[in-house]
Amino acid sequence: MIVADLPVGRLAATLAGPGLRLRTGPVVTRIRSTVPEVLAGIALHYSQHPIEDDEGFADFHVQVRPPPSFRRWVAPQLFFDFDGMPPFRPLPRAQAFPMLEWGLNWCVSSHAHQYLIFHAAVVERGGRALILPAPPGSGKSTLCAGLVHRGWRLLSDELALLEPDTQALVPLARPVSLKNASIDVIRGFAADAGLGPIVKDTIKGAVAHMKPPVDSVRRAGEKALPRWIVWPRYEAGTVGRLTAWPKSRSFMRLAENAFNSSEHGRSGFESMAKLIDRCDCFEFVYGDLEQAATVFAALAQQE
Amino acid sequence: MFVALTTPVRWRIVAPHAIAWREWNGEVVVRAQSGSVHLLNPFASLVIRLLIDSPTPLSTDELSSALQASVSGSHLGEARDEVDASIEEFERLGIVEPGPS
Repeated sequence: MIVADLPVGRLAATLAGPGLRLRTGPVVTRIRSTVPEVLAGIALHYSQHPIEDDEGFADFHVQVRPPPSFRRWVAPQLFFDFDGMPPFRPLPRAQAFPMLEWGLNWCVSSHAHQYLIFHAAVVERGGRALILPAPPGSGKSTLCAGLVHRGWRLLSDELALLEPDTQALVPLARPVSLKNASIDVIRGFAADAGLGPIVKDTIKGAVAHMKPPVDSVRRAGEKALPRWIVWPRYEAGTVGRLTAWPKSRSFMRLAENAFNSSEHGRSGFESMAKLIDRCDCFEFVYGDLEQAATVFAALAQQE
Repeated sequence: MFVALTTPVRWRIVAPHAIAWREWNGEVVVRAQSGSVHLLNPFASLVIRLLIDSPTPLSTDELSSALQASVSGSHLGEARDEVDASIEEFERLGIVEPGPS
């Protein structure tokens, strides 16, 4: 069963009652909320995701809820609860769905230590995965959103999950978080991008989420082996070009983008080294998304 | 006339079983026992490789002699300066320690 199989009323009742056990790749999250923006966001962005039985196992138990006090009515705020405790400060109610998304990212990056986890987008084509690690504001999500509308499969916009033993990347196809100017860029780039409402004045500026492509969600069980690591950077007016980047420096940059390498100890170092060994590493400065897609299509054609 | 009465310090890798390292394009990335990861410049990479490969601790003189050819057009003294700087940094990072003479 997928989310879209539930009539809206039943979806709302499930979220308000026992919780929706939502499967995203290898992760099942039990989500509870009575907040309409959460309901609307899940109905829109997760419509094709599988759901598990009410009694099934869940890796994470989360809730987006209003405070019990008068703040429910005055400048309303919301809490994100993890196992009944709020790990973060509350946010304005308008940010309900982004808050859920950020909370889900935190659940995975802070707890799924069976994987080496990097702050990176991952897309796949022809069975080979392209890892796009980068700090916020680099154009990573914009490039990721553009590529998944030009023939690449979305594995993740935010978290690269690497299996240390197999070196496979595990899909976690969830909504793509677009910020500020990139929202209109993607709207113009792919008319069918499936963008949700724009939420303004978040800590990241204006945010809108893009629905993950149906094919990417349906193929969430198909892992991919990494082939390229590319450090993207948006620079207005630049003609996109790939520049080979030394593996030693790629290792260090990747380490900076790792959430949990310390939990993996020496074996984590070895796994990262194997990842670097098997990948070609590049820096990519781009100023036009369509031209960038052309560059990556050519890369995918190479042996 | 003065005679050196002190034995030169000989250096070795701290807990070799706990150190991990890889070399790409002439630069070594090393993981110290503490878990910190460091990118070494090409000369420091040569120094660490000698220490890793050596079955016994090495003095800075021995390291300098072995690496003199790697410092283009340099004299032994220049190589020694670079070795000293590398060893000082490695010790600060907990990668090397004085071994038995």
